[in-house]
Amino acid sequence: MTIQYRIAGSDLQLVEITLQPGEAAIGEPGAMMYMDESLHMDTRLGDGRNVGFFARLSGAFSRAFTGESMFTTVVENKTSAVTKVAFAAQFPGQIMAVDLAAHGGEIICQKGAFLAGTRGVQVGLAFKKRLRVGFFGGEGFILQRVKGEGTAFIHATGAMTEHVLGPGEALKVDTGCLAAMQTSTSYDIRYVGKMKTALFGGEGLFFAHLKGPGRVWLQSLPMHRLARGLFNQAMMGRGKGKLFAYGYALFVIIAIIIAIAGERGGS
Amino acid sequence: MIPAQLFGGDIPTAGLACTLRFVGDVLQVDGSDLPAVPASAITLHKGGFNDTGLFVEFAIGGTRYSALVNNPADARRLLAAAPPSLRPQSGKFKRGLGAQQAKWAAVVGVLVIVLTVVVGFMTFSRQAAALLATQVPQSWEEKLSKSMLADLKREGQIVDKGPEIEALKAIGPRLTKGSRYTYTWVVVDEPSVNAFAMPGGLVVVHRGLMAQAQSAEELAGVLAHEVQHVEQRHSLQALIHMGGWAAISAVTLGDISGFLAVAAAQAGRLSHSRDLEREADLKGIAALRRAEIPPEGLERFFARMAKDSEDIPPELEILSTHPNSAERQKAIAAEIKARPCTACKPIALDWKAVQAHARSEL
Repeated sequence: MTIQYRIAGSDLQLVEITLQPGEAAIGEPGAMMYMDESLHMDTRLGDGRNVGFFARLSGAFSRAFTGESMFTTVVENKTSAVTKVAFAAQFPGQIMAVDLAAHGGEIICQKGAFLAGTRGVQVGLAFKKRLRVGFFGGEGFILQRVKGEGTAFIHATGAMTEHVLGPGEALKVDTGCLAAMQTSTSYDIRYVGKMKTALFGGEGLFFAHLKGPGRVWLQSLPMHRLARGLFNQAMMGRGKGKLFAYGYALFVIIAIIIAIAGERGGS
Repeated sequence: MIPAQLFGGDIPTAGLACTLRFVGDVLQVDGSDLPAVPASAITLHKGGFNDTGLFVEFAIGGTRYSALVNNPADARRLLAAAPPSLRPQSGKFKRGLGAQQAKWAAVVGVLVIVLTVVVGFMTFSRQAAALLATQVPQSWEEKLSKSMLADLKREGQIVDKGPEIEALKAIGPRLTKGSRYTYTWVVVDEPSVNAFAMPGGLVVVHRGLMAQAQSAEELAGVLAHEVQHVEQRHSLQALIHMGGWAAISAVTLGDISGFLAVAAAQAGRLSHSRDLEREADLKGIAALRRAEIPPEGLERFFARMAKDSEDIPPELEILSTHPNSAERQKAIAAEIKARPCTACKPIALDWKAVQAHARSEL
């Protein structure tokens, strides 16, 4: 039986999971927002599954490479009542619920996408073996492999959309806008076409090319683009920012000149 | 019977587990209610997230289907039984798999080579530095000596008259017979107990050392040691060694600020420097024997240094350019004992006069 949940919020979301007696939810450390008084939060190494120490330790290491913490928060309903626990996203964006069994048992997500899930969901390492895709695809070489039984809640910045691609059906996607995909989907890159488009189109030199069969989840605003936009505003938005930056640069140059002059004079 | 996942049509997104097999010219998809697919309708391509999956795609009644064989070994087995019309596509798939593996093998290979070079350099840095030092032209080394001599002259501390310089000029040449360098012997009016040599043949002795040495053989021992530094090109070796280490550290540690590179280079330099000092000690003794000067002088000098001066404690030796004096003395004593010099005769020099003069001038 799939877990009951409710995703609330518009641009900043949280997922509230309903735990029947005996059910448990896992989440990113720090993501827990609220839970019923009778629930307890436990932090475990690795995925929170009941396996041996070394299995958990190796799991923890591979998680760490994929942008997750080595630890997991586990919230188990040990009471006989129905309880709720909520996990919140930590930046503007959307949460998508993914029933892993309905997608072949595992999905591939971008680094850091996993937010929460039912106990039994594992986050492991997925390595993209094509060099050019790793370098230019916008997601890097290391992605998350989220697998197991149950539901996974993944989170990405921007607005998220899902597309089901039939056999041979393909989409050209802006690099960095891929949030998650099924393993049966092919992920490659394509050159944008003309040099003029490449230079002035604002999309860079490559597109990500996603070819079905399978479902893909896309995000409208990758984190690095959001951060860059905010940062640029912070630095350049008001005249003061620019002046401050130039002034600081000048200060550093003067300091270096004084240091060099001092050394030459002394020797 | 090759396991595969079937997608397309009304099949849910998870796919349908089925098995594939080629029977003559048709493909049977067992586990689904699809009819046999003629080979002419089939296209093969490589894909999936791992880029190692075989997609067997076909259309039936206007609906496109795709069967994914995830495991490359299974894919090869399936293609082995494929009809001849599919050979070109099948070949393309297999070549694609091979090309991918080859690319990764190349990447790993390059990394292994880089690692081997780095580790090789770290292990053989001494020998590499020694070899490279022999390639430096002599004129370059001599320039260093000339420049240092000019500096010393400018500072006005050279002692060019008196028993000290006479003693130096009497003993020195005995240790440098047959050398490729032309040696210049200099005494400076410095009270510290020190002597050094520059690449190219300049040997400088501080007055303080001449005042400390109790016999001409002791001075000879120190001179022999310094001469070996020049003969073996130790300064050049040290420079090359340190430069190499700094480069390697910067490359492997990727430290842009260079702090770690400098620290690692320094650590390497010190241990290398101690090795060079030990080499100078041992080769110096050999040179003394050849010049028929008793090598015990060097031993006695270090024995006294170990006893008197504030020496580096053995624990801190790792931070020093020189091995600890007691250790040097032991090594020298062992070397002398192993090969006693029967032809060696004491130096015919009035050392007391030299020492007295040096002490009086300080």
